[in-house]
Amino acid sequence: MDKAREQEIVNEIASMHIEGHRKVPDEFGLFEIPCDLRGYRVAQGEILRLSLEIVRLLLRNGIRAGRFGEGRGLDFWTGMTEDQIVEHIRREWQAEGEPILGKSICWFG
Amino acid sequence: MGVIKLDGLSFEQPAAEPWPPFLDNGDEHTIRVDEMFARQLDNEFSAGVRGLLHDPETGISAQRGEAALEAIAGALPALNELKERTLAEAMGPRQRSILEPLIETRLDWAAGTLGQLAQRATVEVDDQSVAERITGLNRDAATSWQDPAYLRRLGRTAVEELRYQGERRGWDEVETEARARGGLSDLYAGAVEAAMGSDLDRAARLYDHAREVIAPERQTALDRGFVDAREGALLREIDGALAALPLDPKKPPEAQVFAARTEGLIPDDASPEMRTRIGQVAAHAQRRAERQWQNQQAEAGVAALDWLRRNPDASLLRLPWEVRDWLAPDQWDGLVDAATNGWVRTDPAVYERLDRQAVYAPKQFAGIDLDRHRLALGDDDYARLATAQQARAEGRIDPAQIRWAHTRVGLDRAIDAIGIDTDGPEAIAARAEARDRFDGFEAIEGRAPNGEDIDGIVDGIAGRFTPDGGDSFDPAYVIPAGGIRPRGSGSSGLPQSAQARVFTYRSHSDFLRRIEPNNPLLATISGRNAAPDQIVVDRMVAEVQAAVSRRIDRLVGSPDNYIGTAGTKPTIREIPGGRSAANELFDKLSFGGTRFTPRTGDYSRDGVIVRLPGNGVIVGFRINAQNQPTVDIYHNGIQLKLHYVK
Repeated sequence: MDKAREQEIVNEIASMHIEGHRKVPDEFGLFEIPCDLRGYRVAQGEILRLSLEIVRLLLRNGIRAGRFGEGRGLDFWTGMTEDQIVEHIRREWQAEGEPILGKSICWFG
Repeated sequence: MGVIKLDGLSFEQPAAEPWPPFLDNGDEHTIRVDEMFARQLDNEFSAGVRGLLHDPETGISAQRGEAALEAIAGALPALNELKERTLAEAMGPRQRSILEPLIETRLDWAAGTLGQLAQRATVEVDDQSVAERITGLNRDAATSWQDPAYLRRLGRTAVEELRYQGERRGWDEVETEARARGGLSDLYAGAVEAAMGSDLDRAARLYDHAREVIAPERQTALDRGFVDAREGALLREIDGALAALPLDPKKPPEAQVFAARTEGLIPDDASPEMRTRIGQVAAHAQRRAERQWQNQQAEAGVAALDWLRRNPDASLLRLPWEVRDWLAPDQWDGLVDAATNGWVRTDPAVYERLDRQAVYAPKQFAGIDLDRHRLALGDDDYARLATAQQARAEGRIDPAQIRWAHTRVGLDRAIDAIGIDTDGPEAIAARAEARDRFDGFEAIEGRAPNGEDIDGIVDGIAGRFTPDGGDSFDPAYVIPAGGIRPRGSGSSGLPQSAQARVFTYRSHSDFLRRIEPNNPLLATISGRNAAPDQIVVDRMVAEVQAAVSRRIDRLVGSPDNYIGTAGTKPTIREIPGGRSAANELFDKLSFGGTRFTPRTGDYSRDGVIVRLPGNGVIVGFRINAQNQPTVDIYHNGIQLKLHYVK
């Protein structure tokens, strides 16, 4: 898959989440992003890299990352920069494997 | 008693004073009283003189050399003053006439003693002066050992000095000559010793030339010194030759190479003791070369990474050869990986080994060259270990490392108590998760974890190794919905691996029987108690997976025909019916699955997550940000989100 196509996919998925969140502000897990990429038949070896690119686009467009607090909504990582969030996700992903429901690393909202 | 004449000390009788008129009529009692009083004053005078001359601490006899002569010069005025003070205390001419001769006698004795003390002090001063001159001559000889003529002049001067001293001291000829020979021996021996430290061959020539004037006992010491110096020179020569052996980047310095090089340098007549010492030198040189070799590798790793950061788009083929040659295969792999990914990835095995040492053997850890592992440690991991190492080396406490050590030791003990191999892959994975949770804690919570938090991390991870504990899901310990344990689980005497197969097979077959009672595979189940083969287990798991997929398709439809209407993307569905409909679907979907608590911060708000047997199907129920009941389905890498609207 060439770079232009990759960028197109990244933009489409990020736009889908950004627009979706504007219409219906539901939380969504990081694990949804690799699922979305697979829908575009992205190779497994590229899933992490492109997921992180999508995360960057989400963060730059007002979507916030965080984790659920006990018995309450998302606690956003307000003290972390974009780079720190992406790096945190990268490290957890590499340590834990691809996020799935129940092991999502982070959620967006 | 002999005396010496000293300035200021008068030996003349004082002029007699005229006798005053007798006022006491010269009766016998008065005369006795005067005599008694005069003798008392004489006693006091005598005590003063003794103190001045012989007090153990302040008396003149306690002084030596120059100090004694100075004290003697000051003694005469002091004695005269004492005399005048004592006479002034005498009352009347009779007392004075009795006292004065007594005092003069004491002064005669004191003058004699002072003369003896002065003679002793003069000798001491003279001896000290000679000793200093001889020392100076010896020092000159030690620095001028290359100049035989000058040495001879120095020797003559020393002999003359000592002979003249003998004359002054009144030594007989034998003693004087003995001392002169001793002085000459010391001078030449010192010169030879000085020469040995600079040039062993010239020292030997000087020694041959001067041997006849050097005393036998000094010759013995010099002979021993020459042997030691020659051995030392040989050892230095061998050490230098071994240090010059080139290092081969491809392999560490080998002992046999050093042994072979050493063998060619050992003299044929070397004693066994010398051969032993040479062997020690060779071993030391090899260890030194090993350290240099390791340092070169470590420096190459750091240099390669620096080069890569300066040249991120350049081919690794352009890496300077002097760096590339020194990289070990694992370092090269790390460099290639870093070039590919743009960052250094931590090698879990390396990190695990270093972390174990940091926690359990901090002293040894402090001595490790972390640079050697620079291409196997990500920046964060490298920085963390380097910080811990630095703190240890400086004797400081690193609070983060203390907290992590507490975490790791607690986790290792917990999983060891469960019976898990603490060096096995499960334990390593558990520690990696603990590390990530530990690292993420502060970023997420805004504070460092305390003891309770650390215990929570440990308990949460260790607990998953138990059948009903932990904070996440482990398929090895599936408990079917309803809390029913698989039949016969854990009760057999089978090996652990066989027990695991029995457990997996039975839990999955039980589940299959509940969701598809007529599944043909169930008819193949044997009534035997033996553990099934792995192939049989895998087939059962695969069938369960397929049955779960069929069940999900029946309940929510297939990807091209999901229930409800599409939301903002095809996998987000809007479904009418509100909470009761959501509950009904979730109950059906989660039937037979295992409810588990997701990781902290993940889907924990009023939510339930259930994992179904058969690898990878997870369903969840939650209330979303819009207060809508939502069912999440994670199935074969597809995520389906069902919002239930009223």
